[in-house]
Amino acid sequence: MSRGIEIKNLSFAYDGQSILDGIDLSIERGAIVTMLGPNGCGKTTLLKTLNGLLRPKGGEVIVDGRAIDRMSPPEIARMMGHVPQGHRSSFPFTVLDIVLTGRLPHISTFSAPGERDEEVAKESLDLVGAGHLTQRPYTQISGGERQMVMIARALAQEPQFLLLDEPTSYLDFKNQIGVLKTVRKIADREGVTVIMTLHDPNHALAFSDHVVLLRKLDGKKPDGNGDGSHPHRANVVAFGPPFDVMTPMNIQEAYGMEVELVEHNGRRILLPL
Amino acid sequence: MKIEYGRRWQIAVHNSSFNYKGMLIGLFLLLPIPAFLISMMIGTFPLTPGEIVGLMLARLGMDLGYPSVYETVIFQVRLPRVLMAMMVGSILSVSGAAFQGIFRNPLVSPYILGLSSGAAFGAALSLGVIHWLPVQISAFLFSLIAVGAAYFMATTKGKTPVVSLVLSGVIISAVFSALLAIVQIAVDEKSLQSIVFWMMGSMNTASWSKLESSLPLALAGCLGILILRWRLNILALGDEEALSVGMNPEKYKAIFVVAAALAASSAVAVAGIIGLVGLIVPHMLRMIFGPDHRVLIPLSITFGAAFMVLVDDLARAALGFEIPVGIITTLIGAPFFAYLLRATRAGGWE
Amino acid sequence: MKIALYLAGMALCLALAMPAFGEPVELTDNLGRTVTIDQPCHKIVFLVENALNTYYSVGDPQSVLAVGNNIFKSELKMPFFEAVDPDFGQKGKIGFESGLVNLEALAAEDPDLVVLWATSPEAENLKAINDTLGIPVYAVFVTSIDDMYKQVEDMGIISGRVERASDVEAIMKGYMEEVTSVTDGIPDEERPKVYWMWTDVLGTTGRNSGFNDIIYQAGGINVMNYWDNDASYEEHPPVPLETLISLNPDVIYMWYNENLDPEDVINGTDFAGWKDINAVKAGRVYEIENPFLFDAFSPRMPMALMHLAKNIQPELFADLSIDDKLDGFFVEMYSVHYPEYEHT
Repeated sequence: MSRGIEIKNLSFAYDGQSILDGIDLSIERGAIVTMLGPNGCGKTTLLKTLNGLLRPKGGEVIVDGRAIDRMSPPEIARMMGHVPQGHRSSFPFTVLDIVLTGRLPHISTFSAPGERDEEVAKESLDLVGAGHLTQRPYTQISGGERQMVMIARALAQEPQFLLLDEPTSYLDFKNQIGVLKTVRKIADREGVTVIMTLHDPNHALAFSDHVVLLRKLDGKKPDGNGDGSHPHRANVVAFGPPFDVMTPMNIQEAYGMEVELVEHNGRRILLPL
Repeated sequence: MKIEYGRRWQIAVHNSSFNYKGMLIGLFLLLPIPAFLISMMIGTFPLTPGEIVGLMLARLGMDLGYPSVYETVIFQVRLPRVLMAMMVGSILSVSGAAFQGIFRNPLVSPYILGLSSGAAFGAALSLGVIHWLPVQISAFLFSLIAVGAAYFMATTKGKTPVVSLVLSGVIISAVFSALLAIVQIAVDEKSLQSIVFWMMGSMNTASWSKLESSLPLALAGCLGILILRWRLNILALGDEEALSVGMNPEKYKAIFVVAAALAASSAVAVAGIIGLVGLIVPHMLRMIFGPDHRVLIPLSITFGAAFMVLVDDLARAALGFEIPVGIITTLIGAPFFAYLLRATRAGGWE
Repeated sequence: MKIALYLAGMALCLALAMPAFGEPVELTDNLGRTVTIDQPCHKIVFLVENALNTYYSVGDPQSVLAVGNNIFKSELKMPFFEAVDPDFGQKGKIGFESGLVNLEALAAEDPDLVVLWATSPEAENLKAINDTLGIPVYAVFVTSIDDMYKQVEDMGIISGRVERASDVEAIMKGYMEEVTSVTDGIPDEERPKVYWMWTDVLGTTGRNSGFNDIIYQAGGINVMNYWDNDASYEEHPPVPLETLISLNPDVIYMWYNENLDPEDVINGTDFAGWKDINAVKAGRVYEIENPFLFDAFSPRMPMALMHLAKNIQPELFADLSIDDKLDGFFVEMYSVHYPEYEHT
């Protein structure tokens, strides 16, 4: 049985509009995998098909040898933590109350969280360095802290996989790096496989073990590839270690813009031309 | 958007030792007991506290030779009314808290899905047109029909977005208000008076039989919400956040709406439309204890009961004549609501 | 000379035409408004039922041009109206929308007087008809027994049959006196205390109300007179049940109630708290079963009084048969027999 996530010939359409097509990926355990691409390339959609929130039009997702569409939502939630994009709350729940909701897949229908759940929640908060926020109202902490809390909530699910949708959006520069460093730490120490979507190619370069570079489909039906310039209309431009994927050529292919790759003290940075 | 309401209170509670908060919760849980005892002492029939205690002892087998009318007043008039006020207060508060959680908004009431307009129409239909249909049953049925219609209207492809629910609630309310207007035009003046009086909400026709008929569904609805209350925390975070931890938000929305609507409909059916209780009580509790539904729901039951029965004491005894209790709750509630609206910037509606 | 002759001719024509136009007459309606009409009115629209009932006992049914479609329980009353006014079925029916009269339909009838119910001179319908359409309006607002007699007199003026009106008034007073002559001297403390139950059950008729007076004339006393609270003076005060129990009425009189019967009050589970009230203990709960026959604020007021008196003072009125009285009353008032409404 293969450990990790296998994506086989996955396609997805929304209202007849093809968003994803011909995606084949194999994600191994124990790494940070970043999905990168321009707006509308379907990276969030792809992330949501991984934990069954969206049902693909074709193909399948296999996690640790089991097809995702044969698993119940709580089963998936025990295996995969998920942090949706930019969350807000109308109610001033305490941070601990929020993180505790991550325990849902471990709690039977007619029960509420117990002591053990509270412990796990507090450990998760410590893990993301937000232990001091436990009793603070969620509505009164900063955007960066909120992101950490939502990551802690996903960690409270005790997952093997952590899916993060744009964990750096709406955050300032310092908070962006703070969140990504925390993600790195979680992946290294806890052995959690992180799959996230990002906007910034340099973040992808600096914090990923593998990068999936995606492009936007031109909107035609998957079988309507008439012009022949792209024999495979699949979304994936390249998949592999960041240095191999993030080449100016691939970036040009994905984003349609020219960039320059600069090396400094063994680190690489992409600069637009 | 940051919601700042009750911040000082909340911080005061959160920063203090656990025991203090625990004690305060305990106090609120016990509130119905003194409220009950006080309310049993109050009424327009002249009885002294000594006589009332004596009558209660008489119930236990000691014959103290009081006239039978004393017993009737205490056990057939005052007791059912006090218990009904407590039941209605609990129901409206709990269903209010549940609806606020479902709608992720602290400013919605149990009537948001057209429940009150449906009930008003049902009551008017019985009072003015279809006389063989008991008003309680008619009000109950039409309030559920209204909620069901609003829910059905808002549901597309198995999903019931909160914003669609709010809008369909507005539409259904408008439809039933129009139907109510038609009934009001058609009926005579005396029936019209009964309809208006019913709509203002009152407990003055409380009786054991009314209490018995509304209790089973009220209890079922409240218990359902009580047992599943922690899940309201998850629903209150949003559909995406619920899905991401493996909860089917549509299923739980439906469960909570059904439970809250059943309970609220059975309360409205016996007491008429009592305004703003379902809004104020959960709100006050949230200001003091925070939004965690594990605490909020049980406290809504007890504090709602205590609040309602004390307000009803005012309604039935303050001036010596009966004031519809719905008028008092609305007069108390409206300024409070206005304050909340400003303090929370429309309740953080997204 | 020619001109003088012409003028004389004109004057003669005018003089001959005068009776057709009628003489302008002033009368005061129930709101104290002065209404100027050409007597007698030939085209009257009645938007209020009780004045219509009164009119039929006095005036010419041909002069009723149209009626409101707001007649309470009209299906019950059709045989009567058709008997006293053979053309009743064909007469125009003026509709209402949200309580506002259909002005266009009313204007199309072109009446010379509109009679309607209004509680204040500022009432919307009253102003609309009077000011906008410019049609004289007689406003009806009956709250006492004397208001009823005034209505009879005013219908006499409107129809130009003042004599008939005073006959009708005398007929009514005669029937009333059959009761009041018996009940007049009864001291208050010997009168049964009566609780009047409107359809909202715990709403009753206050000390300042027409029913308060009728209950007294019937030999009872409105129990509100024993309630030491300002609310007891209101027209329709709400009473707490505990207060009602402590007031302990001897008789409960229900206005026509389709949701409730006296039996429900005596034995119904919803009325368990009422069981120690004297009226309930003695089974003395009565209902106005027929809101047409026993409508207290209609010319049938004497019949309503008899209905009340017979139940409130059963011993004093043991020999009184309302059914017998009804026939005589309908013959004298409307020249039809009760209950078949055959013409005499």
